[in-house]
Amino acid sequence: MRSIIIAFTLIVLGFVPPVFGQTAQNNDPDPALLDALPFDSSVPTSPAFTILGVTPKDVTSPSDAEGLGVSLLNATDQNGVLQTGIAIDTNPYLVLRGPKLTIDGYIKSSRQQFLSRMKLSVATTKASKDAKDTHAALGLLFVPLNTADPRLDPNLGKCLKDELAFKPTETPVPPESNPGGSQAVPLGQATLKMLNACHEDFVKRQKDDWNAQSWMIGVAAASVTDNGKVDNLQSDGVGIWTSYSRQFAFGRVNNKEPKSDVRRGQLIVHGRYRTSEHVKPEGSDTTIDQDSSLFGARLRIGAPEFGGSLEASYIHKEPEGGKSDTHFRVLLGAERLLFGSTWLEIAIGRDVGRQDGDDVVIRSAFRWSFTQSRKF
Amino acid sequence: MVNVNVKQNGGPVLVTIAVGHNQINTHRMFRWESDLTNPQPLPTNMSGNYLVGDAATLNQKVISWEVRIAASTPSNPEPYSVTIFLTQDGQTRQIDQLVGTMTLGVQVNGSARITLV
Repeated sequence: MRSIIIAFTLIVLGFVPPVFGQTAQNNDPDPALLDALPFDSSVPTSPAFTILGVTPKDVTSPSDAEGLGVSLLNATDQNGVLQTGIAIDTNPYLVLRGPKLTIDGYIKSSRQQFLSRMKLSVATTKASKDAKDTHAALGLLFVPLNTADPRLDPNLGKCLKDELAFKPTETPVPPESNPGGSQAVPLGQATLKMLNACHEDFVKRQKDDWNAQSWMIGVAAASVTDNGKVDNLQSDGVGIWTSYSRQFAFGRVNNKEPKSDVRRGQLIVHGRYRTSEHVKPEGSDTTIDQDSSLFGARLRIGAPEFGGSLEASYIHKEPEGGKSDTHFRVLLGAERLLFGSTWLEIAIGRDVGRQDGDDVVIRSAFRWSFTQSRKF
Repeated sequence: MVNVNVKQNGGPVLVTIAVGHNQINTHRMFRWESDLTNPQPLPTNMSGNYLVGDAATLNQKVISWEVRIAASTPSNPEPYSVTIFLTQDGQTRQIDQLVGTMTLGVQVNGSARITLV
């Protein structure tokens, strides 16, 4: 633990000049820099909504028999304007092949796993009844790898199957003499309670899984028509996101050590590319199109009394009619339990290579504070 | 209860229960007399198909199935499906299907009366 703290402190001191106080910056200060800690490394679960720039308040997940969720979209865009429309959220593979997909086939076939985890979202939005321009987007979410998939957990599978098992003493349900097919009846409360206990045990074991891995890919395309007619539909940009994460344990790890005392880590590698994003340049009221890409990695570590996060990312922005901006961003955060539930939190950020007119500048920010809850 | 026709001079009858949508499940089947008495549990072969019996002995007999399904996640409603297939002389046909959604789990019960043709 001590070596980690010393190493961390050395990095901190080498990173910025020694300063004291709540906030201090060198060179060209950028107080907003630390707000980027941590960078958003998530792949949107509904890429269609993300590319439309809306935040859905009321979208139902697929919950009908065919796995198709259709709902009215009630959302706000990036400027806080209410958008209404229709949203469809579904897995086309489950819709088309659902009854033929058995759990045994799922466990054996990575192709079936990949296709079953896929999610398709379609959304159209319009600002108001009188507005003529209509936006539409089609998004796909893929999960090629997920070691936390409950269907692939043998212990959960056995637990659920054991609780579902028919006891030899259970009398058979008498056949209905009325015409008609199979009927669904609820399981008993005792069985439901035991099934829930299986899931709770699974969640608990997942928290202790030091080797969990996941990889997600999201892709979406947007289009717009300014008169509401399909033949006037024009491309409004494409976005692609990908993220891979892996957990691990480090330091002393043995079976005698309480699991809550284990030092844990998580590595996240993230990339995203976005074309024709509507953005407002600083100090301007007009919106312009911008292409952007981000590639980054984040390392998080956590121990009972210490936590930290190190991020590095490459950011490239290309605004329409403006100068492109390419820079590297490094963000460092650490926390240490001082006493009781009081934590010392330190955060440092640095942008390298940022364009400011014709000059390349370095922006840094440093912040420390006491908090009552841990962040990393 | 659904009605199914079986060839009187055909071979033994098998029934397959297919639970779809990648859901964990367990099931059992019984054969009943025509007046719905004397339920007998049906054995399965190596492939998990239920052995109903020789066709000639099945006139007006009733078969029933009970399927229990557990959702893979406890919170969101999940789709499930149960499809019943009957096989005789290598020919398989669907005799019943139920598709629905569940939270945590569900039991599906069904039956069929066999008529020899």
